[in-house]
Amino acid sequence: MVPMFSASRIIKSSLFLLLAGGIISFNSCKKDDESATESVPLTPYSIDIPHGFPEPYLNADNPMTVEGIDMGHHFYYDPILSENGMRCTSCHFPNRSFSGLPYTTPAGDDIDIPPHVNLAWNPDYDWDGGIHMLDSLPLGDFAPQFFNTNMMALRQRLTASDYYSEMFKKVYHVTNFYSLTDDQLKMDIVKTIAQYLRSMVSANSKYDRYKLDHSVFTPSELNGYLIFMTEKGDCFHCHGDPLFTINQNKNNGLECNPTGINQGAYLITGIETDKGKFSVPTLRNIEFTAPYMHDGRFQTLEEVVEFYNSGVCQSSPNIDPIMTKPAKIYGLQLFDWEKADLVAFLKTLSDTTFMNNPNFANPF
Amino acid sequence: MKKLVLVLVLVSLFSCKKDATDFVDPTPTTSNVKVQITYNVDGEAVVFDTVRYTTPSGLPFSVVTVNYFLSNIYLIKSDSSNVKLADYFYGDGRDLTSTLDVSSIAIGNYIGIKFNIGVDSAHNIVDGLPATVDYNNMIWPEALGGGYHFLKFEGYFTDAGVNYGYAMHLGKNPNLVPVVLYHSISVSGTTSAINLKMNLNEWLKNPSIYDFNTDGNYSMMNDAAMQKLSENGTDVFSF
Repeated sequence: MVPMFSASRIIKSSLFLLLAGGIISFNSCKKDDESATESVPLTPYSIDIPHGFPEPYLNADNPMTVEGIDMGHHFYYDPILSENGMRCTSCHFPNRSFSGLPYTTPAGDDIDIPPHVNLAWNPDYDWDGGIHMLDSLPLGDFAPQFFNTNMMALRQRLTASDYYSEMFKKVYHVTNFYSLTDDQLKMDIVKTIAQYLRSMVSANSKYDRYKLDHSVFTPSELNGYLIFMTEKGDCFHCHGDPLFTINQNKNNGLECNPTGINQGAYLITGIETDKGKFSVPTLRNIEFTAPYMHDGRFQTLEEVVEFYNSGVCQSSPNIDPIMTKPAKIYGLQLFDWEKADLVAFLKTLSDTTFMNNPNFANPF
Repeated sequence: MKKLVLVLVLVSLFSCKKDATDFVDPTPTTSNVKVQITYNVDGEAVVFDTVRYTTPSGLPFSVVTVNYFLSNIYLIKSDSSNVKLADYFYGDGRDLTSTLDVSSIAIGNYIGIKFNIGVDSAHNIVDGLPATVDYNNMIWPEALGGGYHFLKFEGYFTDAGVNYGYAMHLGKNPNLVPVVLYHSISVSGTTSAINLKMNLNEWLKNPSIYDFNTDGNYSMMNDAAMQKLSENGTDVFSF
């Protein structure tokens, strides 16, 4: 199998050395495995950090390699992990910036499925910020309500696959899937998926081009940009450039008396001052990730803008202080054409080259 | 044979002495400096989110956010010359583990420390500082002139039983806050600690009382409010 990532993308020498060291260390840990074979050097992969982006959150215990990403890429699209034909893209649709329609929990709550975009810059995951390591995020997908994975059957399928047999040998020096415990096998799989997710970088939107050339915006987009980035709309304090999220938990005033899943981070921490707070989502590719909010309550960007314009509950517990400015107490008071301009600007955050990137396309 | 043994012993003895002489540590001329900043309201340590304090104008308030920059941080020598500690430092009131650590500062007695609260004009521009998570979250949008927030001091206050939010945001070059603190600082040994305190209520008093009700509970787009905060800010720090 030809790796999906060419060697020409391997850059950033300092990170290279760090990764190389990590890989040596990582591989040496696998030597105890009975099925370990002779070590073959892997190809370190370094994220090409877009201008203005901070350093991504990486995991020294799971250094990115071309081979690891390639295997994660295959797992992402492959129903091999499930007993029911499901795969990651069953819920994370490529044409929706790898987001999905809301998932209904056994308790009957709808939880919106967020996009997979620039996850390497997220310090935590899920709407309530309850997962702090991308490398363990996909573990939940083996559960009965998702992949319903039978681990022995999975071992049989992997053993029968020339690709995964070869890649496990390369990446983990494992030739016998039965030598791994269920937990070891799951972790080996999700680590490669995490590597793949970290490689999914989006920074080629019209807005990114605007920063280089201020003439690219239409008058409507420019006015929307000014509403967004000034105190008039005051979106930037939580959705700041360039990630369009500050990656913190905030209460934006959706509910006056949050109960059930609407309590957000409180359900994780039990701290009263976390009640109603949710992880601020990125707005990159927001055009493609409907519906919106943690429960998918808004179907369109127009509905979202109208919520911020007139629907914020000012008495919500722990509502962010930024949401209770005097200019917001009675709503933003935007004219219809200003709301349309704001939506026009939000659509400039769309990056179709990301969704159409062959590195993120179905490899089968 | 006895002579040979004696010669060997002497050679060995002199070798040891020579080695010992060569590896005597010189007297250290520099020390590592660690600047630690703690946060209080009129002497009471800040507990974020839950505890209510009282503003100088008599309003109960809580603290949710204290983020700020320091820039051009120098130790002051007795001859009034300066030794640079750092170009800038990002402070987060919730993170007491974040310290300014500087290596190789000349040992000696200093008479004080000086810095600006905020980002100096040379760096207070678009992309003026390296892109980090913390720095990016302090960006002052290009549409508003570009650069960085100098301060984000946010929380809630109560007036007549009603809860309100407040956000004291400071930015723009004219509002850079010069701070000079004269205090004997001894830099010696392996690591020298400099402990500074920020009294949040000093943002709201001295020389002028800042009242959330009359001056505004949000300073954004309010030049008069930001000017008052800037003037009050010169003495928020102390030893």
